[in-house]
Amino acid sequence: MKKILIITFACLISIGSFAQGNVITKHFADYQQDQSFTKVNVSSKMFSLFTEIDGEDETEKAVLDAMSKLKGVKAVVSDSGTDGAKFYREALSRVQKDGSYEELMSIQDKEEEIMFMVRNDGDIIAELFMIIRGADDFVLMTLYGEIDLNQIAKISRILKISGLEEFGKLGGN
Amino acid sequence: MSSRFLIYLFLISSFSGFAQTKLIKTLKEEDKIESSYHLYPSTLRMINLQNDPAFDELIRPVKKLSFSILKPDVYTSKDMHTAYQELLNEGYEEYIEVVNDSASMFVVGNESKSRTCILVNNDEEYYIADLEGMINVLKLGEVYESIANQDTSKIGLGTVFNYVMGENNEKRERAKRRKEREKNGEKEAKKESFQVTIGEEDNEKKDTTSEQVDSLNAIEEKKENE
Repeated sequence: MKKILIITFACLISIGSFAQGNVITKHFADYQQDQSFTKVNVSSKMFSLFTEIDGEDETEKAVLDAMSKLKGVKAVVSDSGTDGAKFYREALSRVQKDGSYEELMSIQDKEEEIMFMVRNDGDIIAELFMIIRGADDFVLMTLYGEIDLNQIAKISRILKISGLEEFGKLGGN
Repeated sequence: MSSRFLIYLFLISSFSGFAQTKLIKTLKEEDKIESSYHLYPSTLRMINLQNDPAFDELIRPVKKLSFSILKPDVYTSKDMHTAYQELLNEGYEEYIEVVNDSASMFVVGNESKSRTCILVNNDEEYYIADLEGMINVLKLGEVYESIANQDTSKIGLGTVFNYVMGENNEKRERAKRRKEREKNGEKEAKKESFQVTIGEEDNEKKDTTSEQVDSLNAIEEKKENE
């Protein structure tokens, strides 16, 4: 009986963790099916490879450690010619309805608008989500796993994945 | 996808490596590979014409990099998805996936075999990159910046890439011209055989007519004599 309880509890935990997932899988599955969007998916396996690299100094070691704790990156990018403002409003509305994401920072100028949001899991940041509205394009990008905000700017500078550099703005760049 | 992006892809898409996958062997057997290029640490260092220290650091753990261009007339998008599934069945795991309506890239790796395979489809052109060893991911940013800020035709890797693509395009042009020549040759041969047939028919007609005229003349002569 005890064994059955443990198994049931383990199953519930895993289902719970799976349901957390990430904001793109959860709220933007229709965008992922849409042929007009470019979809990017970096798996947790990719980030686990960073544990095999030796950093030369403390900064590199800290960045590699932060990278190895990431579970994945997902992005949906629209081609130019999109009504960025419309998609931005819609994305914001979907995420706000969820209730588990809170605004971290927003940047707004004539050309673009960027919203950073985070989802906490206890004391750790489990997801960092970004919505970008350009003049005629639109980007959704999320990093999930265990996020160290202090290292995000450095990671974004190292990886140079298109769009990820916006996370560098969290570091004041 | 621009050539600059493809060059970068050429670099980043592999994080650990491979010798020769079952997939490449099968493609060779099926004669679907148009051309293959193999780069070793020595050749990789040689293409660093700018002596960029970040590039040397990036490729230091690389053992071998192979780049194959597939035949566009025989290799299809369906083949690429089948290949991707076969790699996963071989024990490869998904690292990166980028998909849009005209291009896609799948990066899969097998950590225990220290191999990575990258499948790229760019406007109906198909490439497979394979890497044995690793690249130093911490240097990616610096190398990317140097690629992004320079004229790709003037950097070593760009020169190699442009040479590979140029040679490949020439090969395709040659094959296209050869096909056209063969097609034209067939057309000419058909035309000639058609003319010969018509000529023969004409001769037969001429013979028939002259025979008819002869017999008419004979009848008329007979009537006159009577």
